[in-house]
Amino acid sequence: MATVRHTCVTLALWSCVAMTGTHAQVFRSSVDAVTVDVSVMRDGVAVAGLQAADFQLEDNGARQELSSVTQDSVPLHVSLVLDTSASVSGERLNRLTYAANALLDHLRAEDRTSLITFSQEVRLRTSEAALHSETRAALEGLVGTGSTSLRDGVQLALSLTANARTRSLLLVFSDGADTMSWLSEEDVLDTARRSAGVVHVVRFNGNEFLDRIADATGGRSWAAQSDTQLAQLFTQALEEMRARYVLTYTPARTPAKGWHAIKVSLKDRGSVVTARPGYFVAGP
Amino acid sequence: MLFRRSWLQRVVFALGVVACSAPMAAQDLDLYRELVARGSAQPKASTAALARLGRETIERGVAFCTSEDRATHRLHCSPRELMAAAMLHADGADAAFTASPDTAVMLIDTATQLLAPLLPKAQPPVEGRTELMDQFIPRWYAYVARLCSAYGYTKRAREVVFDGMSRFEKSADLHVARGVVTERVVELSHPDLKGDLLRGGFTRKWMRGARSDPADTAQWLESAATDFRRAIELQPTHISANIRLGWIHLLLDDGRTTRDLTRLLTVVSDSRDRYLALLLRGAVAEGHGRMTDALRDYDEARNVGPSYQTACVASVHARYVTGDRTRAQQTASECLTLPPASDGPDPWWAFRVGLAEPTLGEWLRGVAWQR
Repeated sequence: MATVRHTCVTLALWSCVAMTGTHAQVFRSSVDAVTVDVSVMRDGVAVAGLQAADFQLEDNGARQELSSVTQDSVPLHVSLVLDTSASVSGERLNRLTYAANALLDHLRAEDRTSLITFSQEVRLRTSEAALHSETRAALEGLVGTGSTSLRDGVQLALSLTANARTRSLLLVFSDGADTMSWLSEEDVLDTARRSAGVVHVVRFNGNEFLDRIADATGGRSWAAQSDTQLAQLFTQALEEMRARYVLTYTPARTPAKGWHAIKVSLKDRGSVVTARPGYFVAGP
Repeated sequence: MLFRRSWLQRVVFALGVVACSAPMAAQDLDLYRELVARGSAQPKASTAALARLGRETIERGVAFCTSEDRATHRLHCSPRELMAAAMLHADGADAAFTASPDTAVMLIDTATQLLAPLLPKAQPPVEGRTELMDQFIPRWYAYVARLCSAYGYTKRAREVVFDGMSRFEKSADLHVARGVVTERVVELSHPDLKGDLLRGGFTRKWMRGARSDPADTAQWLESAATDFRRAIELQPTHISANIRLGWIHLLLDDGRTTRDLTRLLTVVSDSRDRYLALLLRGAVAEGHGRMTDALRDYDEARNVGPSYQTACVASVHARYVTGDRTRAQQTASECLTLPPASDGPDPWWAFRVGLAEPTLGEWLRGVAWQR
């Protein structure tokens, strides 16, 4: 897994509107442009200063020409997807709220957020593209109660970013296993593979499902050892996203519809590059 | 109100008797009986207070209620009062299970003692026994067994259900309860049972070296299905048995599922049952790639239960994977901001953990408290 290997190259696919000013979506019958969210690290440190010439990208085995490579120039949309089931109550909930606020402290004014919570029910606690102040206010009123619909929560959060016009980061936090969802793991993984968002995960205990979701979207998974670590990990997840490169290309010499396997690498082999496995273009 | 007056009058008298005959905390005992009497009017407050009373007081209260008055040779509590107390204990257990499972189990154990004098072969036969009790008691056992299993106490649930079945072997509700407990045992070790069985989860886990037992699981589920089928034989209109059989058939990819659920939908009137049947039929269609049928069922389920989230989630997923991302996003937005449910929680949540249908609890409380 990408997260296990201490590299964190991640690809996220999203529409390139923010960069080009046109509404080109990744997942439609004809692909105008694809943007790939890539994180490059060496010895645990993000590698800066890379140019288009440094990257190689294959789409279904066909080498692609990158039209642009940028870093940290596009506003983020950060969806906080937080477990508020009964196990997350008391001190843990306090720490979780503190961690979410710490992440908000590190966002920029042009970034947008949303807060989604899940117990047995999944709720959007803010507007879909909220100002930080709105999200802070929503965090105040959280209560930990009920069972856990983790899979359904991730599904709805991913679906909400389906046509996002910004870089989407979903930061999912959970401390336990799913006990209530309707959807299966594979159902949600289907969605994740088709999704434009990057999913970063902060979790307690092992959670294979969340790790697979992170992998499928090119995200990372962090295991918290204690509640006091949450703030550090939330902030780290944001910094990791900020350090990523956004690669843009128009697919050539590859069928438009269906699954597109992506392979991203660096010409300089000193850094290990791991990429989101691919993206999906639905037929008509 | 008549019930409460007569009950309280007797409490005052009985309290005097007990206070003279045993060195017990008369105030506590009085409180226990008051709680039982108040259960109908103030169910939440009474159940919470009951759980706080303490084992000793409750056990004494139960012993008193089920003991004979020397003067009248009748039980201190009437059959109706015993049923009311047993139902209060069941609701108290429900309230206590999460925070204090020992208390919950104690409440259930003592409740079975309350019902013992009402059993058909109890000696001496209780005065005032009616046929209604023959309906109430097995249904109470079924309700409580499902309560235990919903909270993960499947061993206790089995004991309750087998205790009930040893006395009421032809109870459709108890067959359903036994099937649910079996299903729950499987589900607790396979939290993504639907994914394991229908989406290749077993295979993937097996390839990773995990213990994988699709044949065993199918056998357990078939055992649950046998109980649901038996319940339907005993009571063909048992909606819960039919829906749960549909769920097992869905998991086992049984070809009869759509036909059976379609037939069921022609006779089901309760919106919660219709919602579940539509949700399951939609899942069957989705599993077989009939996405138009699936979406039609999910959307109809949403119409039946506009404030329930699960059908909405199912609809979002189906739209997403068929490429209709715009509608998926719109629907997700709707799902996340549903109005508060005015007609109770999403039926899937209770179904998922095997809790008894709200109608069963409502029926039991209605009988116990003469509503």
